[in-house]
Amino acid sequence: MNRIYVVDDEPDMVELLATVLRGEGHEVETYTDGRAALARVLEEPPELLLLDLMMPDLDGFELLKLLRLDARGRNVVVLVVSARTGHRAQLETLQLGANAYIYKPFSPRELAGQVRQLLAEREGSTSD
Amino acid sequence: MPVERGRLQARMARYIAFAVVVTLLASTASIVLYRFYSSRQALETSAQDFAGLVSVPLIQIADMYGEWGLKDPVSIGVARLMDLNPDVERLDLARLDGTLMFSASRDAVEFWPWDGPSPKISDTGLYGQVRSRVESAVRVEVAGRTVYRVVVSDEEEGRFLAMALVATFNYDRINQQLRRGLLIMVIALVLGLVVTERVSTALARGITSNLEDLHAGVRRIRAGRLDERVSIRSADEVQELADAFNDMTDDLQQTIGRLRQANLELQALDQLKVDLVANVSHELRTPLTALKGFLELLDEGELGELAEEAHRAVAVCRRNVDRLALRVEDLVQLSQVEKAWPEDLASQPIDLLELISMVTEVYEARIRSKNLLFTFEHPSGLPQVQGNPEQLERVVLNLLDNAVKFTSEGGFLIIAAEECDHEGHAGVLIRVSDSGIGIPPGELVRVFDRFHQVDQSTRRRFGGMGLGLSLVHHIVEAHRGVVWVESEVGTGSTFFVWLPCRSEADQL
Repeated sequence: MNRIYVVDDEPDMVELLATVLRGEGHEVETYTDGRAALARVLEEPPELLLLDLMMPDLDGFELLKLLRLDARGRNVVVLVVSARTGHRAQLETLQLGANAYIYKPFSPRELAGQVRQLLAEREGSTSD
Repeated sequence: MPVERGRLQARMARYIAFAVVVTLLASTASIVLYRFYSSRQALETSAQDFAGLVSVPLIQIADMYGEWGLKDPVSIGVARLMDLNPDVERLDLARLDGTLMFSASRDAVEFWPWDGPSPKISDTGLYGQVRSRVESAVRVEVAGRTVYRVVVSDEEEGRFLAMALVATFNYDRINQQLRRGLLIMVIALVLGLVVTERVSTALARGITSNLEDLHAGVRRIRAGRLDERVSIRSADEVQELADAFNDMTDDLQQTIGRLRQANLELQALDQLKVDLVANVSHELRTPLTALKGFLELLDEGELGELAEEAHRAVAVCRRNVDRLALRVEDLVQLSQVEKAWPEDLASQPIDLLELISMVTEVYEARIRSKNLLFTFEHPSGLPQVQGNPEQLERVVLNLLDNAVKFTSEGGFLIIAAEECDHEGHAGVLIRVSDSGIGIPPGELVRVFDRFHQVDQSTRRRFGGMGLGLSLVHHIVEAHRGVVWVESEVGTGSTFFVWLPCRSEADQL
């Protein structure tokens, strides 16, 4: 049982991500607003953050940057979920400190697999 | 002689010189000849007058010799008479029987004995004329010279003394005049030639220098300096030509301006289209993901078991959403094809190892999600190639994408890069091998065609319109590289991309 935050400005996307992750047995909190999500992450860091890139107000890139600047958010595992397929964007987010990248459209199975893997890696690194 | 400068100039100078020289020659020659003939005419007329005038006094003087045997007064009288005409050469006085009385030249008078034996006129024609009292005035050849000879008979009625005067005139004065005239003509010709050469060259240059200006203008336009105009104010055909040329340049400049503007608009429009395609496909992805995700969950019973009818309906929805998703991916690829024209190749040296590492790094999740065994084989370093990094990344990405797409779970995927010569040119060979379904031999050459996939069922199963590989082909060719594929059905495929190394020319 892991706590996962989902941030996406599209409520339907949030719904899908939450459904898949809950199906995997995780505790999921959803946000459609970047600022609220960032505040919550810094307040109580989750095991995993699913982050959309294209959002109004505070977008994924900015959120990631701010998160990594803060000591509390430095170790949060971030999976970027984006419709931007250009690997330039992908590389940029990885350089900003995202742990993995999955692009839309993905299948729930693909997402679940990625999440499992990221959590397992995190498990391994924290137990070391 | 500075005439060789410019063929037209030289030719015009020659024409002008020729015309001037011919005119000069004709006019001087006609003057000289006219002078010669009129002088000769005058000489002969005055010779005839002289002969007619002096015949009577001469006969009177001859009487002095005949009557009194006085030679000196006769000599003096004859000399005086001869002084009256500068052209007279000799005067022969003969009796009408053809015997000579005396012969006078400029130097001396030769007297023949009055009543003794005196010689006859040696010239038979003249002898006959004198005897038959024929008067004449003719140009004759005597001892190789041309002289004018006038024969005057004088027979006074009832007189004892009846004689004929043979006056011989030379043309020395006229000939000398002619020679002088010819000499002046030659001098005039030579001077004329020198002056004409200068003048005609200057005249020709006046015309051809304008032509040269015009030519310089043409060269400027060719060099793309469309703002400049030819300035020729010669008020002749050359200026007309220059003006027409300037007008043409105006039109050309306007047309080019319009074309440039139109091209800019087209480019903007094209960019708009590319952006639109990219944006639309991007905007489509999010709703598609939601649809696709929930349908998959429904279909796989994650959200509770469905009634059979409902399950069938969901399966149909799912298939169609998948198709829709693939069309959207095709749109993205299409927008990349549009960008891949060679003129947009912002070329720079590229380290392919770094490029492949970066692409595989971001692509790794996809490979892992399909549980493929992935390896990247490479030497410690590779020579640089010349090209556009984004497009070459697209090549690697599409090859990986293709391999992953056609390889089922648990298969392997190898990407390798090595130095390799192709047709004598150094380069780098990228190899992407998979354990996928393979390509039938007959289809091998067509996999790079746009919108081609092996068959319709493949398209349904694996999606896409086959733009990925055609884009690879397009980009590689734009980089002057080669792409080909080897494959065995059921075993897998290997795609090869060879890219040339930076040549000396590229480094300049």
